Amino acid sequence: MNCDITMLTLYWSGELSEQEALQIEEHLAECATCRQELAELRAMDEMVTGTPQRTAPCDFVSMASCHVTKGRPSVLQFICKPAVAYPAVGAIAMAAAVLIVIMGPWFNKPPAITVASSHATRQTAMALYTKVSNANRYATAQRASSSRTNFRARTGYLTKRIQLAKRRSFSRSKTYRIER
Amino acid sequence: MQADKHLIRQAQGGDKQAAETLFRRYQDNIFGFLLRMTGNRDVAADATQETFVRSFKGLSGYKEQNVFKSWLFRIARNEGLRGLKKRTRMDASGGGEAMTELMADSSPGPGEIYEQRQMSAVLEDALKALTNEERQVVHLRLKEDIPFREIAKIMDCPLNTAISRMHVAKKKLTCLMVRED
Repeated sequence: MNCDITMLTLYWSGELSEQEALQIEEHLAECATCRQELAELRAMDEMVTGTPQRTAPCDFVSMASCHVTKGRPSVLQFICKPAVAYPAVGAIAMAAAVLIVIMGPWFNKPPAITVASSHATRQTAMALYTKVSNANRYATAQRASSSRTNFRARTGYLTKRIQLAKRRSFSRSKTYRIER
Repeated sequence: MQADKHLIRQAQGGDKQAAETLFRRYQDNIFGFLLRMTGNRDVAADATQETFVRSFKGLSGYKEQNVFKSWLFRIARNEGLRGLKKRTRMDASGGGEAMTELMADSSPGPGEIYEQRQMSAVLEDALKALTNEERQVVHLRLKEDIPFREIAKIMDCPLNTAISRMHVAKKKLTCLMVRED
């Protein structure tokens, strides 16, 4: 068997099957290089294993457990907490407020199509209003004329008609006479 | 003491206490591994807490055919790498200390000083001289007694790569220790 550093390391690590371990042991009996390699691995193992185990400075598990259990706050908790507790939400709210203040006039301005349609509507309304007011005025005038009779004017008018009729009858008779 | 499997089943059934007991068994191991990996106490502490937060959330999706310890160390390794990246980014933006300086524990507590006095300073220096990947393999195999096949899964690399990292680390440590002697 040739030197196989992977198999030798796995042998030292105790990760080989019995049969594989036997093969390595046979090889070790013959190979001084591999024996040296194995001795170095064991020495390093002793050296590093001897260093003391570090202890955690605090109970990370409890802290993590609290962190996980806390999860997302309820709506009531969210409202009750001061705004400082949610810097991201606060920043978004602030940005939205500034945007609304800056863009306020733009939001008030109606779009062009609305302007056109409202202009047309206004014109139609004006035309209708004029028509209605004219009709009203006419109706009022009619009503006024029908309700109040100017007798003097009426008399004058009738006198004129009578005179005209007399003149016509006179001229007719005259003509008649001539014809006769 | 209840077996891990029993606790896992209870925890997956919604028993919070069982989950806490289970994770607390590995708390020191995870912190020790992350401290070795990151070389910084603060980064290791943050990564440890994040590891357990993710473990709590992901425990329902854990399948029994995987080794629990390996599953946990895999999460821890990912969190450690994330913590290191974050730290490097912060240093790059702030122009702070170099990575090599970071690897030296910057703020040791009283217990830490006591430990450092006890352990071989030479070995600690030698371990710091290894690459991050080599240090992880050495720690997982020698301190946590995790087999190479599981280490390969945790580190998401082929078995031969994990073994060769171990040998490179061994050579480096031997050289450094001999030089110090």
